[in-house]
Amino acid sequence: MRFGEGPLPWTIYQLVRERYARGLAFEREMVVLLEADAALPRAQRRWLKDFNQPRIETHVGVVKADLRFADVLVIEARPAPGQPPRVETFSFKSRDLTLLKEDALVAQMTADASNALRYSGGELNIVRKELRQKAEVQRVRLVYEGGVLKPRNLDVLRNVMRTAKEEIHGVEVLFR
Amino acid sequence: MKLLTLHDLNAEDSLRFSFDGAFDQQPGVERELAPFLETLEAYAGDWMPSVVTSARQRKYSRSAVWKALEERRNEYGAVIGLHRPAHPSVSLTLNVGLTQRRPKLSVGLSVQPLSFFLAEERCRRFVELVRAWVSRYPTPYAAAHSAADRQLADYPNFGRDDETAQRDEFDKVHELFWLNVFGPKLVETVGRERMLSTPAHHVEELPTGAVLLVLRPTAADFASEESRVAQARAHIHLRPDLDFDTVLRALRERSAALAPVEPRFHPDVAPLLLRLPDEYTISERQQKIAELNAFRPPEPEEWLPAALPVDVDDLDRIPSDYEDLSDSLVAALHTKVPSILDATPESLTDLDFYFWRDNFPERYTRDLIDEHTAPALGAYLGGVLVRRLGGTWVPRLKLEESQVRVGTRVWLPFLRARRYMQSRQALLDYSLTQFFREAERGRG
Repeated sequence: MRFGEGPLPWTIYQLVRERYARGLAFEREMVVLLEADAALPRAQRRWLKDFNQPRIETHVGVVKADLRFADVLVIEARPAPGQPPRVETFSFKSRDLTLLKEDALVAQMTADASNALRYSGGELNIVRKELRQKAEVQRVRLVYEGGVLKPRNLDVLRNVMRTAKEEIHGVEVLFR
Repeated sequence: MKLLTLHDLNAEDSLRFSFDGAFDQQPGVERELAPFLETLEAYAGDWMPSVVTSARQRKYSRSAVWKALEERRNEYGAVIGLHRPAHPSVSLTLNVGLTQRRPKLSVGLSVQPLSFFLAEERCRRFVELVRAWVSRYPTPYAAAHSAADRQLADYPNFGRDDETAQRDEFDKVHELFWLNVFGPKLVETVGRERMLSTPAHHVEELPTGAVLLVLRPTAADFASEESRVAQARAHIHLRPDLDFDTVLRALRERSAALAPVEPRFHPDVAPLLLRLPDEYTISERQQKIAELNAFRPPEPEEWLPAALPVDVDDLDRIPSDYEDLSDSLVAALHTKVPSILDATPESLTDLDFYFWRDNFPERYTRDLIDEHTAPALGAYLGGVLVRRLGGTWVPRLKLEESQVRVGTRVWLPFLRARRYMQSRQALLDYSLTQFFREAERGRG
């Protein structure tokens, strides 16, 4: 085992680390899930039922005070005549929340929800060339990766989620 | 200094108490919160928190609390923790809501272990503490009880979905716990007279119009038959629409689910399995231990009685190729699994646990796993057999046929690693821990 004797060349080390950082399936799975939802007849949709024809875009630059990227931005592809297209945004987080203390969990969740609203909610400018426009975001959702990263203690977690929901009005906090 | 995380609260039962109290923002946070701390200091006694957490940690004092609140303060309010590292461990979360929408003091208290509350005197002081808190910060409902049993009762939803539970909140007496505070509205749904005549250890009307009901003298014996009968009797008194036998049967089932199960794990995988129960919620812990007791991993098949002949030319280069591959795994994971650098049997168990806990096979993309993780892990595993069991590589062109000779057998670490990475269950069925043990035994 050479690693103990001398480190790998820095470039290789960094390449591997980056590859693992990008290797999480959650965000891709969420996009696949939203695309599958969009393909359903409107009445059967779970996530995107307020769109006629949702168009799903990932990593979309949006500007309010500064430039940020919405993990997913959904925009109406067939808006009613004379109406601005409906816009909704999604933020995804893969955080291990189980290792936090209860007060830190509350602080983290309210900070995440508050950031989601601040950066990808309300009135903003969409930067991406083919979508470039001023828009009013109608719905902001913060989706945490569930499963093993979700605190097992529902008694505590529900209380924290309810608090986040009450405090940060206008963001829906979910686990997937 | 180890402070209680949500994860730690899965390892052992605790006394859990939570409530949302009315909070008047007018006089200022310090003035309004001071009585809360006074009460805590007066009654907590031997479980008094000693540390205040915000972005930083401070020794407990009033001024430390004010500083922490200031640090965590945002436009919505402030949340801080009061902690006690050990015995008993305490996590007390205070969330002060400072918006018009949410003028609340939310309190979440866990004291671990629950057995700390076997002593009647401690329980009596705890009741006094709660009485003082809810008298000063009136609440619609509050309960203190075993955290594990609260979870089995599905607190605070009580079987309702999140939306319904958030809309209806505590609209009726869904459950009866060790200590209960019923606000005036809940008292009205039952009838004050009826509530005050509940068969229980202590029933008291508070000046706020709320009723404080303590079922039994101690909190820790909640699962005993005597406690369960008392719990069912008091519950149906408050809810005459419920049937005594049905309620009691459900409570007994909860006691059965929480009855301690002795771990008796298969010796070859015991070092790994011992670490799994903490990863489940406290209420399913015993059932998981029983399942893991029954778990028998299949005997490792990734070996051959005689080696496949070497089919590569440049024999000098091969071990270094395996090392490069193995090193790249170390590069990827050494911050998550520091012991990977040691390349010992314990490192293998740490890797098993890490991959399982993180659900690596299902949370990472398949192409990353198939192209990098599985082969790199095969090389690492082979390397451990070489280093710790005196094995020698018997290289092959195809990685999965690459072998390590240990004693009379040749082992196929790449094949093992590929099987291992198929799913979360496969990590247990084809653990590295067990593979090493088997190879060690066959060293002969």
